[in-house]
Amino acid sequence: MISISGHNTNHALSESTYYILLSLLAPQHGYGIMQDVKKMSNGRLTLAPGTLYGAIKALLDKGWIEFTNNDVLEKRKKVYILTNEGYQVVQSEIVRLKELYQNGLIRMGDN
Amino acid sequence: MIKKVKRSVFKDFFINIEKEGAWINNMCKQGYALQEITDGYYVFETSTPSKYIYRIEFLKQDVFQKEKDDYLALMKEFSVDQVASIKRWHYFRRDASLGEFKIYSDIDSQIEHYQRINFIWYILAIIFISSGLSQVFLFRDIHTFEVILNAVLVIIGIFFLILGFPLTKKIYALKKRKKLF
Repeated sequence: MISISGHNTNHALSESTYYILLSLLAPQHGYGIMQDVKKMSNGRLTLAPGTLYGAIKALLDKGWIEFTNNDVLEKRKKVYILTNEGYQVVQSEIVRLKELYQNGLIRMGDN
Repeated sequence: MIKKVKRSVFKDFFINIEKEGAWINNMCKQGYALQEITDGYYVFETSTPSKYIYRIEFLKQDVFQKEKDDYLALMKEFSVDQVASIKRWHYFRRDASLGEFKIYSDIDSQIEHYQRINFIWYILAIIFISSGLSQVFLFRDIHTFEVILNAVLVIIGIFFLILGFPLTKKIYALKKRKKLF
């Protein structure tokens, strides 16, 4: 059996939070995050604006994402990017997901 | 063409979000798109039937007070327009051709939205019912006038409870669904 060692063992990220963080490896504005997440999940997950706004606020508060300047993207729109701390969080979440996934394969077989 | 429908002043206090939303969307299905709410009237404009999807949101206190511009800017990015607002109640719409329009896409944020509303309904219910009943426990003669006044207060409180119960049921159902996920 595979198990995780290290921190962040007791908090699973919500699906929305996980995908928002992944999306913010590159600078994005709100609508861009939604489009990116939709693309990554093959159209399965469409973030609604109220949910996205709440998640962005919470992530800013935690310091997992931050504002960045938006020369590349349109002015006026707020643009966000992952912080180092946010990066660590995604990494340990991937370790956790890997455990779930691999144990699934071990017990269920991989076909 | 413009069609005006009187909006009862009571709606400023007793707004049934589900019913109100369903009614506005139903009007839109019949070709009357809500444009604004002013001076006690819903103002509808004739449009192609089902042109928009309407959603009502009760904004978070701090979003309403400090971040409204930010929030509306994000809504704009999503092609969502605000058509009306009454205190913390906000009426949004989006062109139906853009597909399904929700304000909240996951169970947690849906629960939080209903809880935010219900918090207010239950606080008001407690205030009205307890002030209506308080004199009962003073054990002194009270005038008919006072009896009527207190009865009215209790009735108002019960109205708030009636608004709160269906939402509590919804919250309960959402939480039950969430348990497995």
